[in-house]
Amino acid sequence: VSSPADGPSEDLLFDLEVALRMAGDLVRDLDDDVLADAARPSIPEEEAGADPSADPGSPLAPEYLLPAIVAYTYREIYSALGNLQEGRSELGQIARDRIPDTHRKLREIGDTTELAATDMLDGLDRALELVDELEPEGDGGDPAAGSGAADAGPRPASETRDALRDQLHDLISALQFQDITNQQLEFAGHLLTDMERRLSRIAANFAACFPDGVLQAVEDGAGPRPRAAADTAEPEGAGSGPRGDADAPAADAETDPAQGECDDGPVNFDPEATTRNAGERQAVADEIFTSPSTGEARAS
Amino acid sequence: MKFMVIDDSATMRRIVVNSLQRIGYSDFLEAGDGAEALGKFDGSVDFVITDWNMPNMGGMELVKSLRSRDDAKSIPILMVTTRSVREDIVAAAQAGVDNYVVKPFTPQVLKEKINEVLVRKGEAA
Repeated sequence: VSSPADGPSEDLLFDLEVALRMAGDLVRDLDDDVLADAARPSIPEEEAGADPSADPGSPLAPEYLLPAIVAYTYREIYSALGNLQEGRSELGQIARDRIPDTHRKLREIGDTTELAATDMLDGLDRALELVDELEPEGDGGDPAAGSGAADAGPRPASETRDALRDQLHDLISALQFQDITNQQLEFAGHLLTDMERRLSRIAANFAACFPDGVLQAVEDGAGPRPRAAADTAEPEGAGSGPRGDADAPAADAETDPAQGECDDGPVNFDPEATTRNAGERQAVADEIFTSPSTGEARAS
Repeated sequence: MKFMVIDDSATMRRIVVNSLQRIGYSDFLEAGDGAEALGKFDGSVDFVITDWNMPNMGGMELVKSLRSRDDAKSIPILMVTTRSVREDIVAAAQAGVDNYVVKPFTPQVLKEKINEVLVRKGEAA
């Protein structure tokens, strides 16, 4: 079932798989005679000199070599298809499970920072009013004659100072959003890194299906290649010819950043970090820490 | 009473210390993670307030380490963290945390949870 969360990576991989399937079908449908015609040398035999491939009986002769190349390519395309299918499945799972959650967290960061900014501005407004209340005292005037006290009536300066102190402490507490939104951003960043790592692994598997220099030749003609393949996905098996160790990378660490561990070591964030429902979440903690069974567990 | 405040976020350490000052305490020691806390910990610390998710050594590992030491096995420990899944809170209690505060918190909640621990420890003594 497709969902909006499948995203561009899923579409790209799907298109690539379709294209490779079409290429594979075309190769399979090629008639041997057509291949032989295509393999016929375009240079006169007398110019071929002592080249062993010019000998019609040699295994390096074009009429033998081209079908062998085509058969090899056909086999490798199907190997690549297997890797792509595996990668699509893995990335699709991530897209369905984690990207929507990441979108939600990023939206929450926007909401949280806006709310925090509003709260702090409101607090600063109230603090300024309290300062206005105190100002006449410093000038030797009526301690409660400021504009903020006009509606509430006069009150002792000490009370105003306490109110101002509470207001400023509340502003400091409001800055807790920084720690929580930072953890949410860490989570989003970790997910992107994980996606890049998995895409790189797919790219490495795909690259390992081709002999040395083939992909480079394609890339040289097609401009700069994506960073994932160019900078992080140099396959260990790519230099050892077709296939190489292509199966090995796909089996390495399967980790879930939301579970607290990844290839980079322990994570320093709570995947569920939120500024919301603090009261309800505190109530759960209170219930656990006041239950007799928890007390017995601590005592033991 | 001397508090040790452990959190990898300098902002959070300042907020916790500020809240403690507001409550009326004035003696603090700070650390950025569990490993640093263990290095600084000595007999002068009376109360530990720690975050959960930290680099090098997290809060849970710190709690277990402290509870295994003779000089810290009964020291009051308050966990202040964003983690609020029931299983996590139960695990913290089982590891030896005395009380639990969910971020974001108010100074009033922090005061209540500290007092609950002190009363409980006082009754046990």
